[in-house]
Amino acid sequence: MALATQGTASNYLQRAPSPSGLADVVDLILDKGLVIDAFVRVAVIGIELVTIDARIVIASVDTYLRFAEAVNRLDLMQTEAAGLKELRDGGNGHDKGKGMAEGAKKAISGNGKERSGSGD
Amino acid sequence: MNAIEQRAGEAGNVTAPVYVYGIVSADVQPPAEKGVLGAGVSTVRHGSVAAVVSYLASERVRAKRRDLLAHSDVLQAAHARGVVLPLRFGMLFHSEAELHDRLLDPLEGELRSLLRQFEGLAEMRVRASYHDRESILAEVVRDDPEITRLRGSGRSHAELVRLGELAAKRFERHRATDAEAVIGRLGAHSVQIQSDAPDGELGIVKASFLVRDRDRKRFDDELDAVALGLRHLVQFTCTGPLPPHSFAVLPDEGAA
Repeated sequence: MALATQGTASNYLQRAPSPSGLADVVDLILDKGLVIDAFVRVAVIGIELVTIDARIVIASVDTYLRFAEAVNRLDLMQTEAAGLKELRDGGNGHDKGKGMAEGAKKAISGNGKERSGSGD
Repeated sequence: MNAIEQRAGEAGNVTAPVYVYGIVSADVQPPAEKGVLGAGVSTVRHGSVAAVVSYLASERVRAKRRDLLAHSDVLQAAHARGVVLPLRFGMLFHSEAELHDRLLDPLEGELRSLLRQFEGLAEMRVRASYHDRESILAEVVRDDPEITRLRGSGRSHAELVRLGELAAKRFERHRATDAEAVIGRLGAHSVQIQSDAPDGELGIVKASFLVRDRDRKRFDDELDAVALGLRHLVQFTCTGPLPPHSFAVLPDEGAA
């Protein structure tokens, strides 16, 4: 699902009166709520509690290369859908430098695309 | 109902381990939900407060997924009848006598005070994430001249790293801005906010808002407006009204 325009009136906000899925529930009742030392704690089996830190904490070269790859892979049709009018061609602009000997210094318009036939 | 549940259903079963879901006012009827391990749910009263409980067959129990859901369901049902102070999952006392001696008796005053404090309040749990990587990345990189210059084939390793670094930083900044806007706008209609680290690489917000019942419509309308404005890039979910899992804290123990 690569289209930039997503979300209709009904699905960009989903409301639930109660937690229904495990993901909803796990956060609320395993990490939160009143705790007192006097309790014996019931162990929970069969649940994998994986905390994923969303932030880019490790500013590593690997992380950056992944981002570069993702940026280069961006479907230009999508940026057009998102509002950039100058892009006409779709999908053939990015070869990831696999042996293509083209110089980087070609006439590149503001959108970074290779020479496109029609006006930019 | 098996023999254990039947026995547990009788009042004052002082020998069975007691699983506690939460604390309510003494005059509230227990919810009819089935609880953890399929046990029935009742209340144990102490003065002005009561514990919502299940009697279990043994202390050596292992809970499963469905028990987490059952715990949540019992609390939701209790919340429909009035204030409930939720306990963390898995709290078990050796016996009902211990429940009185170690929780209800020493803390009755604090619990009563907390029940009053959370009267007319509910937790709303909001999550927001980008729909997918491509759309948000496209949004972040377009109109950025330096990123644009570095895109395409034939780039050196150093240029790729630089491209990635710029994109990563722009993305993080965009995400932080979106998160701040969402939390700010919803927080304006809330008494308190508890913000957690969002889930996953596309997560923007995972936060709980403590909202007065009389402000709930404003909160809901604001959420609608925020979500509508961001719909092309962001998916929102909102669960609630919930008991105040994220906000009810005992004064001394500093729980949750």
